[in-house]
Amino acid sequence: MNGAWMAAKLLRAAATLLLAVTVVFIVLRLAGDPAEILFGDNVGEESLIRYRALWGLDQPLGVQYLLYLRSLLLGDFGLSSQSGASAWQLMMGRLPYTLQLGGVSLLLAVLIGIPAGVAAALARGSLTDRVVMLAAVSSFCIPNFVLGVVLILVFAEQFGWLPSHGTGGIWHLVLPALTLGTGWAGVLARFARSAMLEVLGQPYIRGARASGLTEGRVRWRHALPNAAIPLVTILGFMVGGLVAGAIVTESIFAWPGVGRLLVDSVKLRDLAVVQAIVLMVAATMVAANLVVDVLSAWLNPRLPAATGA
Amino acid sequence: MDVALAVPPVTRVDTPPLLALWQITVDFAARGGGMVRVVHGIDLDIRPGETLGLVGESGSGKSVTCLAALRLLPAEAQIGGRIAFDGADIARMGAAQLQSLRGGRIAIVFQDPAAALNPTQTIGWQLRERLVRHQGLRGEALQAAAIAALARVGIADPAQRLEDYPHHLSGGMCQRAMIAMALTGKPSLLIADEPTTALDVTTQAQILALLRDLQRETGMAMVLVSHDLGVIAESCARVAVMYAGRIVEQGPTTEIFATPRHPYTRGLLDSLPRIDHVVARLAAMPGALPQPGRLPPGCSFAPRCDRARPACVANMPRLEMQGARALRCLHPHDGPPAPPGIVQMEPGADQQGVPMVEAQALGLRYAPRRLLGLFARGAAVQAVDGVSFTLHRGETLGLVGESGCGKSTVARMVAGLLTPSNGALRFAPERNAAPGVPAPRFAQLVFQDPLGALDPRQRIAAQIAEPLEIHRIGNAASRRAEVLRLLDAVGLDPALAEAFPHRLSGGQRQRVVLARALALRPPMLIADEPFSALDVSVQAQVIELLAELQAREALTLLFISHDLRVVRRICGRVAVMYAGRIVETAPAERLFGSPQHPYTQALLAAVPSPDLGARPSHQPLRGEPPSPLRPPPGCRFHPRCAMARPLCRVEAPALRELFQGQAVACHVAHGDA
Repeated sequence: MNGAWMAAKLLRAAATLLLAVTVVFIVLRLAGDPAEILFGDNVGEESLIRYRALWGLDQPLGVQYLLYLRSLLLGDFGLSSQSGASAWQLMMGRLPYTLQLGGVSLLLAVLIGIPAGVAAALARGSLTDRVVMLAAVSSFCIPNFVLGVVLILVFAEQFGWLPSHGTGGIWHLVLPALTLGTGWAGVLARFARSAMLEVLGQPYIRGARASGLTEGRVRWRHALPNAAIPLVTILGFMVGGLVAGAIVTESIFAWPGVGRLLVDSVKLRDLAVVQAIVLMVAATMVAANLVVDVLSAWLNPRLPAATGA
Repeated sequence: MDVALAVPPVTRVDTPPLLALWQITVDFAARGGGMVRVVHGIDLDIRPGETLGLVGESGSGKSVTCLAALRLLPAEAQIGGRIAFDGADIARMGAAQLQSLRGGRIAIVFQDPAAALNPTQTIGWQLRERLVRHQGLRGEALQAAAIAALARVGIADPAQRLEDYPHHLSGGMCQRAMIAMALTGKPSLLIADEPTTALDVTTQAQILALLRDLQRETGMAMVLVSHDLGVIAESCARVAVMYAGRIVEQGPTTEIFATPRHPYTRGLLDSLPRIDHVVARLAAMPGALPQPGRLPPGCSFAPRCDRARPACVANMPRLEMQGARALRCLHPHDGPPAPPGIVQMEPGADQQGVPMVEAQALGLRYAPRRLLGLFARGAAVQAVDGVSFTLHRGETLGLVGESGCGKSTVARMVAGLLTPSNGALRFAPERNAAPGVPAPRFAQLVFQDPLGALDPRQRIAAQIAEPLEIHRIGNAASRRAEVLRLLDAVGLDPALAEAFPHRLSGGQRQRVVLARALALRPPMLIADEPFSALDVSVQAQVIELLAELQAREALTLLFISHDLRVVRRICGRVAVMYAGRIVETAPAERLFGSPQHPYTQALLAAVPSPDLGARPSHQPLRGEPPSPLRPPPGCRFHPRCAMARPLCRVEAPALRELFQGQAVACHVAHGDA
């Protein structure tokens, strides 16, 4: 891995973020005059003018854009029109909950999905393979809102074993994490299976077997590291989509995460909060991609970054 | 598995065999249920220290037999018969025993060395892993053994190469590394499964010489699997010829090659174009190898055999022992084959004829890759440098050289697919005659891989008619008639017009590609390795077809190939390329008869010949072609040239004419014919 490659990747990441900021700015302005959206027809023209002057909305669009960029760079994401609190702080207050839920779900998905997929590949055509694939397909075919509701009905309503909503202890996390993680586990299982099968069919696996290496060594030291290369890419997508993916689950379980904040803010037209969240999602995506690039280069010496060419 | 009645046949040998295969059968699960037998009872003995050649076309079962011997086939495959190695029954070995045998006393190297190495680990990691497995080494002794292992197979700078990943190394280097890994278990038997098929001819000669040296040094036995009779003739004392999962003829190589008795063996030898002479017509066997599971009744070869009689169709002949030889044929040939009808090649169209293509100092430079358009990574690559030639109407020019020499790049520039970065291409006026007449009607390309060149979802007729549709020639009915005419011209059954490509064999597909290329009736064809993907018997058929079409339609042909034997059969004039430059050009008779450039001489000497007595006495060409990133100064061949002088290191030689029509870019060549 070399400096020029890293610098180029960082530059590209920064460019992507700038593009996201710009798109958010344009979309929010296209949505209409924020003053009118906020006050509707209830307020006189004079108040609107004063409001626009207060927030700089009477400036030319270019100036508004530059001012917007400047405030973002200074960490100022504006104030929530509902509570008057800083949008940044509102979001950061919720973020730990989303990270907690998403992290646990993802961990669950990785720990279940990848071993299941690898096991299916190693026992291709067997009963294990068929059961794993059936489970995988079913798991990502069931929408989160259905799975969440079913889990609540069975484990919270019927048996009363687990809490159905809100936060508290580790038990509150079980149902939402299962809901969110199941689909991901299914996706990972499928990808892990096909990646592993692809690698197991490669001539170098036959070569490793032919030189008398034990089956364990062939599988874990030769096949798995090569199969991990495509899996890292998929995992990157999942991490990047974590916040957006959690919206439905957070709503079902009344989980006080960023996803629910986003839904509430959209309903209330709390633009500052919405754009803060959208930018945060964009930043997560970009960061996840960067991590994927670095990890892939580390796993795959054929990539240009790894060769240092 | 029917291993119960295991009484190996009595062999008339003095030494007990090292590996004995007895009645080996292999069945694979067929698509749509059931089993398909691909190997039908193979008996083979390999004695200590001997070299056995296993020859046959792809699909004949030779690789499967070898993999079966080590139980390396996928679990779905069923192996029958008995495999005895040094008295132990491999079929009954437990996993642990089998694993210590594999890579231990029996080692195997495979065809595509770059793919047979793990791409995400260094050469050193993979080599050390095998050393730990088979020699139990650790620490400094391990590292020292790894370095010694690479040095032993002729890899320069071994300590450095240990840190490299497989993709850093050339194919030849990868194969050397594979051989080093195979030797870690000190094998008494090495199975080499097409070890040089993916390599260039000079690299092939190096690897074969290395294998011979190692064998002499260690006394190990070797099974050399190859489809190339030349490779077998040069390396093996004994040979077994396989056809459709059975051995059809077996015996000492000298005897088999001098008096081949099975019509298939004789057909294989006759199908192979020679480097030293040109036959009037390659005696191509008709048809192709039958698919497993669709074998004809009786002798599997009978449908392609000109000696077949009713008895051949009724019964599968047995493999009969006759002294040291074995033969499976009811009506074998007797005595040596008739001498081939050697012809003097006509020098082709007259040199003063109309030029179709004139290339002047053609060059192609690939700019370095850039990151975000800012940082240049690596240097520019000069793939082709100062290439000049003239291709006259009706002439067949062969462009030969090893992979990476720039021959395909030249072909693509002539075809208009790449724009030269230096120099000029001038074409016959008809290319630009009518404004709006595009280049495809002037020259058509034929590529190497016929399956990749055909759309799997379109019927054959539609694909052949497509150029006519694009150029709005004729109507539906006339196009249909034209397709049938073209199918007939390339020797295909018109019934195949409505078939999809997957139903066709490799040879049939290449015929379709030829038919499509001829649809616009171009005066010129550019063929880039058109026969490399084909087996020798099918290759002979398509070579004859192309030669016939070329003569009948007076086509001008630019023929790109690494196979000098094929070039010898097809081309009237030849240009040899090395590292982006033409080093020699001459009429084929002269080039093959008295090559002048040291590289041309080395290239010709490296071509394996099935003719007896042609065993290589010379040292194969050392080293590898230079990286196009860092070509050596002066003559690009000088680092590998035995005759290089100080001048060669500083000044690049220009092409100069030594004889009528024979030009050489060499400071040393004098032209003593």
